[in-house]
Amino acid sequence: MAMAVQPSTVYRLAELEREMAAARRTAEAEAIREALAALTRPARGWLSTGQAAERLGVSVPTVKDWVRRGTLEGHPVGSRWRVSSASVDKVLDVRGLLAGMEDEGYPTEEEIQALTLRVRRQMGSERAHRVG
Amino acid sequence: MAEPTFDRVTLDTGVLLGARNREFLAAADLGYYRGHWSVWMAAEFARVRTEWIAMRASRELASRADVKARLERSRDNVNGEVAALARVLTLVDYNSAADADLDRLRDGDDRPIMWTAIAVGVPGTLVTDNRRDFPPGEVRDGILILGSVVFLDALYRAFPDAPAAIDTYLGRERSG
Repeated sequence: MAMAVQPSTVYRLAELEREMAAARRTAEAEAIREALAALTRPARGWLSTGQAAERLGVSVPTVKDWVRRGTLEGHPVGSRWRVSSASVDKVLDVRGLLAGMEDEGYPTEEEIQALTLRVRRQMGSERAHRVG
Repeated sequence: MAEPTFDRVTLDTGVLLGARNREFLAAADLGYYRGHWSVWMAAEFARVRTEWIAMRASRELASRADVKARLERSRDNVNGEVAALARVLTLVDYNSAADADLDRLRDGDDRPIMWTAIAVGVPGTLVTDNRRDFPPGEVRDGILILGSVVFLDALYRAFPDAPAAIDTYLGRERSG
């Protein structure tokens, strides 16, 4: 698999492409757009919004909303959006681990209070021991 | 009651261990608030969760070998849970606030929690269900203390779209 391109690199190139387009430097803007399209292929760790939506089991508008919120890392490349595959993996990881935790169960409020008190005492005495 | 500051929220370990932790983490990752924790809380989470799993295993399983096997499996799960929390919550160095005088706390071992909240920033919000040392609704050292249910209610009042967005994030269907 080709090396993944850093989100910050994609962000800067996308900014540059917009600046070139605003300055009517059409050839430069087109060249950057072409480079961005090549750099943000799935093999380089980037997905289309449709691919991201499919992996996450959500709609394309939801993917765009999550990019806007910062939940997913994404950037416009020309008229299309590219979403970092790593950020999709992160959401899937968190979701999966939380589901696993739910399957395993949760302590009751009373158990949390009792266990936290005991563990906090242990950790407090360990800290005091280290400081002392 | 004062309104919480959603950009500087510290989650006590008990909240992360409780049954509504999925809502807390999904809401944080969706940017409805910024959740923080510290190394102290990460260590405490791992220890309490492991102790609870061990306690339950010894209650449910007859043989020591079965208990041991379950604990082996759970070790990876707990590590994964800590990793998931770390992906969503921002880690702060609670030692940077350790000069704050918190002698009034009934239980001195609770101080790292309050130090964490102060290190996140003032004014801030500490979400905790430990009423013994953290009276809900009060402001201490610039930190508003709220129970987990009250905090989520305030969050959902401020962002009415949040419950549906959280359900979508968690991949669960919304009923009603």
